[in-house]
Amino acid sequence: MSTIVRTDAVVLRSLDYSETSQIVTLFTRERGIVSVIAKGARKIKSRFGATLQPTSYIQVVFYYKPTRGLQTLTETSHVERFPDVHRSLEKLVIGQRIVELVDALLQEEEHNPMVFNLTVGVLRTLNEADERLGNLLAYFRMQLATALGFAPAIRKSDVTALTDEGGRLDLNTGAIHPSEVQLPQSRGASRAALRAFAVIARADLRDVMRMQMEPRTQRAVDGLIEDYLRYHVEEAYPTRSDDVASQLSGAGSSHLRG
Amino acid sequence: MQFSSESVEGLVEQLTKLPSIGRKTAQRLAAFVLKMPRAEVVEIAEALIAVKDRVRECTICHNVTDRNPCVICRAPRRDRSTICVVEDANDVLAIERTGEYRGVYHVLGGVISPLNGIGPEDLRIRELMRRLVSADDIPDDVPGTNGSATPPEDVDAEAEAIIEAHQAAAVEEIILAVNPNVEGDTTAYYISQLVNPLEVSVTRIARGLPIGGDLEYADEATLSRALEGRGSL
Ligand SMILES: [Zn+2]
Repeated sequence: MSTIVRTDAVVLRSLDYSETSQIVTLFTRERGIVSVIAKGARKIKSRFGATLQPTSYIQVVFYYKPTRGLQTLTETSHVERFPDVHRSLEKLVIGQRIVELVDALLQEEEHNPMVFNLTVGVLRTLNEADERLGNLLAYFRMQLATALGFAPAIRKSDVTALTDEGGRLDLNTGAIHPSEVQLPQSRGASRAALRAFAVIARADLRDVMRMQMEPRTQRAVDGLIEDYLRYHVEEAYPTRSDDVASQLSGAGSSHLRG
Repeated sequence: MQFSSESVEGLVEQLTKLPSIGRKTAQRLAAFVLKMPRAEVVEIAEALIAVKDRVRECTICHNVTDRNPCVICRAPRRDRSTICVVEDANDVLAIERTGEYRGVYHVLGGVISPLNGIGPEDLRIRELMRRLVSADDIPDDVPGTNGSATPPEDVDAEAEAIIEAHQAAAVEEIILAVNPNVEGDTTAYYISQLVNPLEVSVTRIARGLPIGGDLEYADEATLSRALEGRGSL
């Protein structure tokens, strides 16, 4: 028995399949990650048009059969276009890192509206933003950690108690401690980096995008967030696009790294 | 279903290694091969081996060729000041079919794809830069090798002269003929950032090519229009 599903979705990746088709991984609002086959998608006059590019925010219609690993896509249309995501190298790469993280860290068919809304919101901001795109990626990783169930346990008093000595981030709980505290799974960092970590964990996207960070602090906080996320998701953490991003960063776009 | 013959089963196994051939298609092909006259089967087998043994890569443009440099790079009438950058050899064929392009090519051997872990160092991007400036002038942070600065040993004096002539030609325009999708966009922006500081104009074919469509499947008229209407990035 198959049912027809109509839902909003973000395209995570497309893989060429047979002569002209594509296998598309969708992050759907209703059913989480679903793989579909889009027949004829690579033909010049495909009915799917430009909708199946990674980072596209679209509405999809597909036949769903629980016994089948690959569902059949029948219809797509844009819900909202993010044209500027495709108009700079930096935005293109950040967009691909965002969808890669979703693809790697969510289980198949794991219904997660919180991550869905987060992803769409971050892609929308990526489309609109002119600067501080690194903040956006940091915010996304941190909020993804929260949505996946391991929000860092940050207390305001711990942050205000930080001295010039810096402090330590407990990778297990996400709590911030003074630098002299001995912790088995922790990372030391400057006060500025730990403060930025706390802000990115608690503030909304608009405020995070207003944050002005020194490049050194930016790198340190990116490192903290990555370590924190990696500690919790372990092997699932995707590294492919990080590797490519660091190769690309030479061409006059140094903040692709990180 | 399995064939009761080990040889047929072996052929099915081998055929499934080819792209877009699943087990069922492989079984159909194997059954067909069984019915073919022996001479025809030998022809197929020999063609497969010849492709591996005889076909090489053009030192200049990295297109596939039996003779190095390839016919396009050898042709004195092709305009060596214009280089059309494509993903693979099939795209060269598609553009040649239009009969309208007079310049030369550069085959990247793929496109930048962060999601698949393919970066500039996996492609012939440094080799492209090598056609525009001398090896010393390529920024160090462009990943990859400098390619063969000296002609390979298996080419004769005539070929060597052609390779040198290409290296000496002043390139005025780079046309990026990559597919209009996320990977093509990423590749195009990366190359244009590299080439921008040089006195070389960078254009990209796009007009008339819908996003998501594969260049290979564009008809000649569409592709001609796309080449004609190329725009700067
Ligand atoms: Zn050639």
